Amino acid sequence: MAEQEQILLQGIKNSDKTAFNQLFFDFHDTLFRFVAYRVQDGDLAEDITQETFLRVWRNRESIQPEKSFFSLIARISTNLCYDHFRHMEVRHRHEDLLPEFGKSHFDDPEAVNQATMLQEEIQRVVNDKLPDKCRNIFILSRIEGKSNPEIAELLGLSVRTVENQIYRALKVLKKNLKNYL
Amino acid sequence: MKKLDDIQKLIWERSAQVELPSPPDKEAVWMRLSQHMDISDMDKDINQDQQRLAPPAQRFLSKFKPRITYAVALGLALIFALPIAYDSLTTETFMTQTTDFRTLELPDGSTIRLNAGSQIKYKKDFNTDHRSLAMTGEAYFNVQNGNTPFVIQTNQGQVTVLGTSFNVRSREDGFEVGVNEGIVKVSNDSKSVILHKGQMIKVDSKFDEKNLQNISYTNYPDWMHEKLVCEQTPLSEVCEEIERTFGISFEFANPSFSDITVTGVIDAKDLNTVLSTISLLTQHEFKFNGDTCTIF
Repeated sequence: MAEQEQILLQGIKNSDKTAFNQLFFDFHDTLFRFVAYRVQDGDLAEDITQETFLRVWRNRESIQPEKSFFSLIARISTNLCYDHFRHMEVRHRHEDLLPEFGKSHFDDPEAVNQATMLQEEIQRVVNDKLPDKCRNIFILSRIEGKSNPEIAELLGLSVRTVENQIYRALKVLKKNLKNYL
Repeated sequence: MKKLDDIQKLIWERSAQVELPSPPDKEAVWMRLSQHMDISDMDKDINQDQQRLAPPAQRFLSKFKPRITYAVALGLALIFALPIAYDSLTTETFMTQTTDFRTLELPDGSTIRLNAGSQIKYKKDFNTDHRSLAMTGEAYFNVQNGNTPFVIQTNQGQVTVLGTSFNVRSREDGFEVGVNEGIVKVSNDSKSVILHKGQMIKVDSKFDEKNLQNISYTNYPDWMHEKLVCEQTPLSEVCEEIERTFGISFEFANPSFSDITVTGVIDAKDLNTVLSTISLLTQHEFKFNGDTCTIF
């Protein structure tokens, strides 16, 4: 698979639109969820995902085919997310002060609330506290449900590195979630 | 994997329980993306051309400074004269008179069937780095897949496609697009709407996504099947279509007749059938005098 990816990337470098279409179809949904996890907004995630692919095409001449395509689009989309957050920073500062509404209460509001709150805190720590590489691996593992060897191949890393990074992520999460556990 | 404690296990489980919005339709995203890619490639070509041209131009200026006024005068003359000469040399035009139908094939293999009284214009370099053309009147397009989007300019807006069959009817007060196969993007200066198979929209002052309609009859577009489909259509509009198709002209004995609305599928193979059907539908008599038909 990694070999095929390399051939497709070489194709894109040579302006082959069919090769680009192939990688687009393979990676679109994963990248979309990856971005949606970060920005928590479907429409915005759609825009950033499309813009990411467009930037790959625009800068296709500088593609390095031997490098992981997912790492590339993860990096571009992460930068686009940062741009967006910088833009929204002022608004967000105010929104943080507002209490959260609209959460559903089921049979046991206490338990449900704690579970969602913990989940939301995990998402916040993953987005704010984890380094890029560590976060990419963690999201691929937890959201995309990929196995460690799959992630290793996708990102061009050793399985050992993937394991270490996941362990590291859990350590950071535990440290930051003390108040919720 | 290293050993996890209970808290880490809990985090591990919880972290996967996220509800994310579902991804949008990839085909539609690809179509939009593909157009952006073409636009960005086009911009890049233009920029490269400018960069290539810029340095020699500066050298030219430093060498021939005394003559710069002549150069400017000549340049200005060329600027005014060129577009006219350029236009006539580089543009292909096809048109149909009233009563005339015509099928033409474009350099990319797409075919266009022109309805009576319509015109198509495109540059001779069509299908090199663009596929755009201008039209008035009505035409049915069967577009081949290609690397660049197929763009149709009308006076009121544009239609963009990748490969598909659809009908464009451009009239004075607006234009109408209906899609038989594929996906088509319709836009004017302020808005754009995506049409799917079996949908049609009228683009006028009320152009809005809300006005998307489903094509309600199987033989769309009507004129391709020698039919005239009317749905609450004013008689004046119906008569205009007949004038275009059969090369006659209508007169109303009473101007208020033009507001009568007609609903039904009219067989448009020959003029007599059309006129007798309309006579039946509107309960008015027709009388011929040469090429002029008067409605009583």
